[in-house]
Amino acid sequence: MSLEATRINDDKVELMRAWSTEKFYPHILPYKDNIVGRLQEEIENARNRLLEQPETNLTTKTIKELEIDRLRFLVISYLRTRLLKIEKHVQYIIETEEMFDRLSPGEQKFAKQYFELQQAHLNTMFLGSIPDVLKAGDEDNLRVEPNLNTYVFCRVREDLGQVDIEGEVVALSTGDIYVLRSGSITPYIEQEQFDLI
Amino acid sequence: MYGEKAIEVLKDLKHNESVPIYNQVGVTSVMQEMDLLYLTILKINNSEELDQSDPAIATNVITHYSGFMRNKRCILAYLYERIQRIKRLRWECGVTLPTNIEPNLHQTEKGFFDKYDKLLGDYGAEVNFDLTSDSKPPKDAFIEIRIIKTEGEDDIVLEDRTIKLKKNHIYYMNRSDAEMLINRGLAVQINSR
Repeated sequence: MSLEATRINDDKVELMRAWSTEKFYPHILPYKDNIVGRLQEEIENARNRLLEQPETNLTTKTIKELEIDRLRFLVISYLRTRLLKIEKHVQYIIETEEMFDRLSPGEQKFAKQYFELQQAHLNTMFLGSIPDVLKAGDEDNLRVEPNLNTYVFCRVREDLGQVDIEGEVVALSTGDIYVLRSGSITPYIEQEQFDLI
Repeated sequence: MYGEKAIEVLKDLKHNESVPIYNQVGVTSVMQEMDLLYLTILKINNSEELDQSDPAIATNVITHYSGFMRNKRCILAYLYERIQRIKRLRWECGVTLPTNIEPNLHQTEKGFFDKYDKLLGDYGAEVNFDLTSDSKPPKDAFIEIRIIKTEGEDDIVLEDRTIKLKKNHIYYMNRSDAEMLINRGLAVQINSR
């Protein structure tokens, strides 16, 4: 396989991991800018390759088209999962610098504009007619923080030895699968030592 | 009993999975109750005869205040849940509101839908994808579809060819073209698993 093809394959594997982890982890994770960019290019290139040199063998054509569709689905689903997470916790993300920094520039713009849209809507429909005196605490009306009490399936990516997780000693070897509380594994997620499945 | 009207408003949403008619009457009557509670609190606070430090008076104020806040929470929940469902409509049904739901929306909610649509469109343009497409992992590269509607006499431009679609005919084409036609409401998928 060419160097280029190997890298695309690595990108696919990496994005699949990021996509899966993003689905199950309550907090938003750092945006995989480079990988998404390269895979987007690959989708277009693959499409063009098929158009320029139409495959005559129907089976091969089907397989190639399906492969492109699958890659498309992966990238779109990754972006979509993130966007819906951002909407759900929009106020929290905007107000927490660490989280806001994990967004792509496009997502940051979306987050701000969506939050404005939501607030303007609620103000127009209702909150605008409430006397100022009784508005205390209004800023946090719809501030939803991610729930870290969910339990998630984790797969260990590297040998980490005996580790204390919330009072319990756990032996972490590559490939091990554990069910843990999402709030207890933050450092392992942030350093990409765990995948969520 | 304070707060009862607010519960009635919320019940609309419990009995209906989609977006029921905006309950203007209900919401207005809750807001009127909130006005009443507010004025009562003001009156007590500004009164010179009532002893503010008397626990009975204080409890009175707190009760009214709680009623006010409860109503506020209920109406906020009502409005918030409605916009969640309206957003879902955009994801599932595309850029125009379904004709059976559109009359149910308050004018401002229709504005919300349009602005949200624009937001999604702008972000989609930036990432170069329609994020509402490909909602399920692809199983087949080709899909069978049946045309249910034709738009005028124009040929439809597909990825690698231009064809003329005939109503009620069945076509076997690649996934992205088929999805495009389905999303435009021109075709339905058959043999879907």
